[in-house]
Amino acid sequence: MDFDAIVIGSGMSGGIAAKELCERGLKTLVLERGNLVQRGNAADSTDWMRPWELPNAGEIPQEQLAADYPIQSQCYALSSATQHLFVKDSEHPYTTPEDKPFSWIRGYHLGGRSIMWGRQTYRLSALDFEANARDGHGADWPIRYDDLAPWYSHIENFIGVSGSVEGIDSLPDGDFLPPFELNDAEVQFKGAVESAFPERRVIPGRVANLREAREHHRALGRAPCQVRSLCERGCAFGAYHSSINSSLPAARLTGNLTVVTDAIVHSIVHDPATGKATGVRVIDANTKATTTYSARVIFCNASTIGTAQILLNSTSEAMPRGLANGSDQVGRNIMDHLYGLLTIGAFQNMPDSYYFGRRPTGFYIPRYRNLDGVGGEYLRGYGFQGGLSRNGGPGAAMAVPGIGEELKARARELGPWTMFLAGFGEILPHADNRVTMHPTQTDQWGIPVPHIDVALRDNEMKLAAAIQADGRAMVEAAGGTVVTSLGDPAPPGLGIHEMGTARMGRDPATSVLNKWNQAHEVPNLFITDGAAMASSGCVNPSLTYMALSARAAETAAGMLAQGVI
Amino acid sequence: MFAGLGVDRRALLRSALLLAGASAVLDSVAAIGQAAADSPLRYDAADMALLSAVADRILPRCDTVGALDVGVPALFEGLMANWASPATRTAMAGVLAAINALAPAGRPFASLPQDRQVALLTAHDAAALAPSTGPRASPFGPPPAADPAYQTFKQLVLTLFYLSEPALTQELAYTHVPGRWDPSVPVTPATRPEGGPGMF
Repeated sequence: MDFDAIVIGSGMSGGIAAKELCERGLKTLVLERGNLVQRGNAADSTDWMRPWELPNAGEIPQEQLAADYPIQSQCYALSSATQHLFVKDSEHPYTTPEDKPFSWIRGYHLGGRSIMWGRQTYRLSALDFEANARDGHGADWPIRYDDLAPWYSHIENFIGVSGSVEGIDSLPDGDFLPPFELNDAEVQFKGAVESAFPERRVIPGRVANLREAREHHRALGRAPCQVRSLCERGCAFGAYHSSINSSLPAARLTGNLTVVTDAIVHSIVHDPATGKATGVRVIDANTKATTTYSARVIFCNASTIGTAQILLNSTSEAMPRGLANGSDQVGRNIMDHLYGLLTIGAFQNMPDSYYFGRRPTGFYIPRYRNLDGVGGEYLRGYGFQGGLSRNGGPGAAMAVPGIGEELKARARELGPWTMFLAGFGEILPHADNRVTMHPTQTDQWGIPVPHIDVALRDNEMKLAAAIQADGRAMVEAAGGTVVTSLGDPAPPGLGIHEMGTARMGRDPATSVLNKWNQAHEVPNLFITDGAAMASSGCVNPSLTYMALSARAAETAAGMLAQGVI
Repeated sequence: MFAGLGVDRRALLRSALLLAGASAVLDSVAAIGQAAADSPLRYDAADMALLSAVADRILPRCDTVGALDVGVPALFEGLMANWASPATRTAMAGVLAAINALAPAGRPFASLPQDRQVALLTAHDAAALAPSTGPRASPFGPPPAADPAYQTFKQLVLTLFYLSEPALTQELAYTHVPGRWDPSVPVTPATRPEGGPGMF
């Protein structure tokens, strides 16, 4: 065997899987399909660029944007400072039905999307792990909250999560660094909302930025957050968690890590005699040379769509439908979160104060609907991310006509408080929301491209309407005026929380993975990225992927040590 | 090597100089991007005179810097050459032509006395930015206006001005590395709105 373990993918979950496997003494190979990027390299991390140094004032040339980034340009984080961290859609195609757009936002490089992620970090709750069993949608999770709770703590401590302890059942507390506190207007908004709607809470956003650096953070060269809000460009201070800031450096310290970049995984090799996976077939992204790496255990962390693509492309006589796909569940049940549901409010009644620093988060309103686990008009629920800020400058100058000194004076004035409130709603698992391999179209490496067929359905549309109604009610309860209300959900995928294509479950006939994220049919194959999710909850999912990864790595290492796999 | 990555060699050089402690005298016009000297998309002298006059009327130098101090005309020319699509270039040329046509009897707008330019442009600006029932381009952007092309033009001029180091740090406020989060700061007459990348 070339390695003890292979981890396919170096993003959010792959980085943690690699760290945990390396720390248990396993010689681990990480395969990354994209190029090498390094923290602190000026070409990779553009956080040193001041506003007046942004090429084209931060904009990507319009013709290039239309030709190469028609999907990626829907992501708020794409700019001329981050362009190198997003794939060109023109080079990495996929297909959808014409009437069902799916926005697949991607970055192919070491660290994957962990470099550009939004860093919002929340636990699923007991309610979430029981949801499928209660209302019958999807497969019952084979674990409950208590199974994952210690692993949530483990990850929170390692990555560093700033947040407040609140005692809210639908949003369990964790091992937090001090929070980025609410500003004065947000404190007033909190008071108004919690007074008008006693079941709702407005709390500081929980975010994977170091408000303080603990000793083990400093040992990895990480420093406290400098409150710049340039995170998606990379961070020279290593102040937010990403694979290149924390998990891969920790893995490297063990001496057990090998990283190969530009390594596109074609398929996983399966030995029908033993029933195990024996290795991974790789195509060099540049030379297109093929290599097969062997290992005793394989972790697939290629991201939800990528992992399904690899499994479905790993066909054999024994598994003609794809690896670990006897249940026919691989590729199905794609979920995301309802996204793009935005309420903007203006306030004239807020304190005349300001703040200093560009905080890397805002506030959060945890789920407060259907907490009994039973649906009313709709099933499941939603939470809100938001923030209040005071603006001015060119935005204020453009708000009304005028030129000259009067315009400049208006731009210099501190504007009124403005709030954005973005609802994130749970999407139900549905078997027909699926990715399959395109029957004829292949990519430049000869691999069939994914065909993604996902639709929002009745429950999602009811949630969207409820989100907008509640958003308006909260703005008005706090004395504000709704300026904009965007009630049409964004295309699925744009929440960048796609998940569910190799779900965990109790029954091998209806799920792909067991309670240890181990493939029912391939005992030395573990999948711990978003593919494993049996339901989506309504919170940002990366923390759960990381907790599942660490838990599965311990299990896999134990099974290897005992000779079970 | 980095062509197409949005980070050109000049930008990398600037990064290296900054890390080495060089003073920040580097020209922001160069960083955002100028039209190449031999670009066929450069404005001729008459167009540049018109653009300069318009930019100066919108953002005049008074007791603080103005558009011409920070090189807005060259920056705008650079954006048109390096960023804009042909459709945008045509639309922006149309905006400038319409302003030039405000001048009587075929005289160039730039040749008019400044107070006359101000009067004409003020009226034109008010009409062009009159509220419209058209779609809002961005939930965070300005309200829909009667002349979307003019609105885009003015927005580009303002963006380029307020991204420049002098305007961002003197007209507004900007700290690249705040280093701390203070959730409550008293407002004083000296308080300026923070510009730059936004709060979240």
